Amino acid sequence: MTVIWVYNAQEAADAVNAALADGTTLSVRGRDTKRGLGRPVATDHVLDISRLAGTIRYEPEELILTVKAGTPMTDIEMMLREQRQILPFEPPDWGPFFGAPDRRATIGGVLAADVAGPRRFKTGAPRDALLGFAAVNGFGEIYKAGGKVVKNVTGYDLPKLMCGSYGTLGPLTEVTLKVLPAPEREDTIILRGLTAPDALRLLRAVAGEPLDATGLAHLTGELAQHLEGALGVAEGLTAIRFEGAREAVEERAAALLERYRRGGARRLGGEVSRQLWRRIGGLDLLVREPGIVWRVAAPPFAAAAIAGEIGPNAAQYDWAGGLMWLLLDDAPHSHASLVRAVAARHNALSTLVRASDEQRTAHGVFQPQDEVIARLTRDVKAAFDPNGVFNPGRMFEGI
Amino acid sequence: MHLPPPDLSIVARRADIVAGLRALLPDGAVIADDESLAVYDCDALTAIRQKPLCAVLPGTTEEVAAILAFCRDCGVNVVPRGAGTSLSGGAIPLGDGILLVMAKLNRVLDIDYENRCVVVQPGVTNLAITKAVEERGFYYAPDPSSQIACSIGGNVAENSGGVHCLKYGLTTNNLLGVEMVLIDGTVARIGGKCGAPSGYDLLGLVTGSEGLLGVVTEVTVRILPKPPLARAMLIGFPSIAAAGEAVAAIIAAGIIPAGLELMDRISVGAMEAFCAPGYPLDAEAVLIAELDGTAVEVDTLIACVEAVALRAGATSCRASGSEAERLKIWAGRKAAFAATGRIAPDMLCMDGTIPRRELASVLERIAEMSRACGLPVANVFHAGDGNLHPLILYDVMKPGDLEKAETFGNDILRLCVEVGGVLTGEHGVGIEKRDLMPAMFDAEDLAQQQRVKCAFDPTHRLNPGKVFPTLHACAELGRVHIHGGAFRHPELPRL
Repeated sequence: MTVIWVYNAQEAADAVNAALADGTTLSVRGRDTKRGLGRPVATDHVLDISRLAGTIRYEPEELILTVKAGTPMTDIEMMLREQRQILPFEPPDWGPFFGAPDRRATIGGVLAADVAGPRRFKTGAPRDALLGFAAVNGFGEIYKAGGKVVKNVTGYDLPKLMCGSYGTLGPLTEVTLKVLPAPEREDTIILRGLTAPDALRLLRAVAGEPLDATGLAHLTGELAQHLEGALGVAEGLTAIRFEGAREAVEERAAALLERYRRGGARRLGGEVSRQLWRRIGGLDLLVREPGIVWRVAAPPFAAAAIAGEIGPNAAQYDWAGGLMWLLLDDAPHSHASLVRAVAARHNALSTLVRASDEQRTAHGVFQPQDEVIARLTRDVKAAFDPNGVFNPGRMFEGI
Repeated sequence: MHLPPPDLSIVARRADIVAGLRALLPDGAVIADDESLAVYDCDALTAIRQKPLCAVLPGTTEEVAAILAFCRDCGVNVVPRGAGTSLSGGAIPLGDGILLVMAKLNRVLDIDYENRCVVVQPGVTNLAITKAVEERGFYYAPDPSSQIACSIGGNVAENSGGVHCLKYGLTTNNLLGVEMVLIDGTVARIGGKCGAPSGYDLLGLVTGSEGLLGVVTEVTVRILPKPPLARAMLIGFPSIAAAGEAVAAIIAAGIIPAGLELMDRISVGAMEAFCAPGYPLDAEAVLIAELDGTAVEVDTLIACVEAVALRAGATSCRASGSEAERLKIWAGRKAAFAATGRIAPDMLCMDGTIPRRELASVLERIAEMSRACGLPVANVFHAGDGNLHPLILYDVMKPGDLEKAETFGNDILRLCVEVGGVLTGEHGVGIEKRDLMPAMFDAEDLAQQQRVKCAFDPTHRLNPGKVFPTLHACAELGRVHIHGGAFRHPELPRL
């Protein structure tokens, strides 16, 4: 296996054309921090786009950023910070969770895995922020889709399709993203000692109020105990975040603090709040606990029932229950039949995120698709990559 | 702008096709008499009229599936239609195709407050979703100006926006799932009530696909708690450039208003004459900024926007003091179409998006073109996201006027793409901008899109002749054509 480093889109296209001519396959990678996510892939060569890096155009007043796909997230975040802006989807750093170093992810990898943080239920995922892109398809052609303005409906929305496609539709080479002003202030209200079902009921109620909360999470005690200082107690931690204009955040946080005062509510401000949400997004507390980790995206109301039926050793709930990370004992069967069945029963979507290569190969990673969606998935894959050059099998058998 | 020539071999089989569909469906579901079909001969792009082979009104998903499978097997084209309010001709019938009218599928199926979503059939109007949940303090965010009539199925097909989409997103950002029937009659359930997809984002792909990939038979949308308060500001500027600077400065100050709309002097004059919303008539440009949130938050934001606007040279600035006053401020803007229609016999409406920094220079170039061709133009502009709607005023009875207007419109759209923008911000490509696609996309770009089309509809039975240019690309460019003042749905707020 050789690694092909490409420095521009044409070299990426050349590499694909060479693979087509030789009948070989390519792993598409940025800086390889999420290799543990998805089904293990064995290919003839690696197409590495991490040298395809740099800013093409950043226009803070247009809320637009265009960069090459291999640009490190740290570079992007630094550039945005200088203009007091952010990526709306609050990209967490999953490097350490998947056994890679931190602060190494690229924007291309974040988009390919559609990695979004705690704010997603409010401001969307990469799929909501990617406005346009250039890429190389499995015909060895460089093409583009979408646009470089924040509002555009010209042609099919292929940017959506590229997000969460795990490189199976080909390497992105250039991406245009929508950015947002950074919130002026953030405050978090925390509550201790609630059971998960009670916490989830409370979080759903807050989500249904016009309070504009941007973080609605609950950690079971097994995870919360790893937090520093006074937060590190082995009981459930429920957290509600507000971000925005100073006056609005103060008003809302004060109202909630008053409401839950008798329940022992406390307010976390500034850096303490930021740190907590960074650790929730980055799955930092799950890194400390060994075992299998399943991610379940669910209708929020079903979260408590799903967790009850699966019975995890520890759980992190986000998006008011719309997202769960469930920690289970390591076992050869990965609890796959149980988790898949419970997820299916509640119209939820399970992903086996932390397990050995053997387990991920044996049980698959993503929620199995019904026959119709599986057919569309195959046909869409073939529309971009009929010869199966890119990341074969990363998502599903043959995809 | 023209429809593809009808396949006469299909047209010749019309009686058999109608009989075949009638055999599949309940009585009254197939409309084939000439007089009744006249109702369906166009959508809101009235420049082209064409009666379909017949109109078919299914009442269930199963009926939709049976109709599509029949059409696939018999080689008949299908044009899906929601409420027929498309401004780009997305629902214009074809002479060799049936018109699949989704109006009977108009029920709200499930209001789920616990999961903050609503499941509806595609014929439910956009506004009806908000009406169904407002008693509990919720609403559906995307609000195209035609929301009292346009259907949610059509919104999904067009990825509709609205004046609040800068802050709250387009249809695609507020959609959780659809049920969609494919051309072979297969029913696909894409997404559901989960906030994150798994596998390829087919939901994102089919949203805005303009009826070319499948027919949506059920829609699940996210609903949001209504902000406690919204207030609108009316700000006058001595020049478009000053107003443009104010918009950039508001965003640079870290404020994303719920709505940010700019109107030029000619539009303001027309709206004031139409419904007297109280706009300043001495200003060259008027900005509406809407701020929402809690009372304290809104007060703070209004003070900040006012300070920014005054620094940019605003000559007047006031904020609504009541809900009635806020709605009055919006009434003028939402009546842009009807108001402008009253000051000229005919008009063409464009829908390009430009980078906002180009606003002053683009409007200056449009003004130059206007002087050169002798046709006035009114400009309304979704200023926050750069979506420009120039309304070209002309008189079709004057020889040469229509051609001049079309050329003018072509030049405007070329300009949008030239300065880094796009052909359509919210109206869709449809038939009106189809032949202009090569101005924005290279052959490889279009080929990739068409391969995706083939994955869903390999025989090109769904809405053929829309979105993708034919081999006979002509210089027809994007616009909404309103003829003789008698445009369709004149009562609807627009843009």
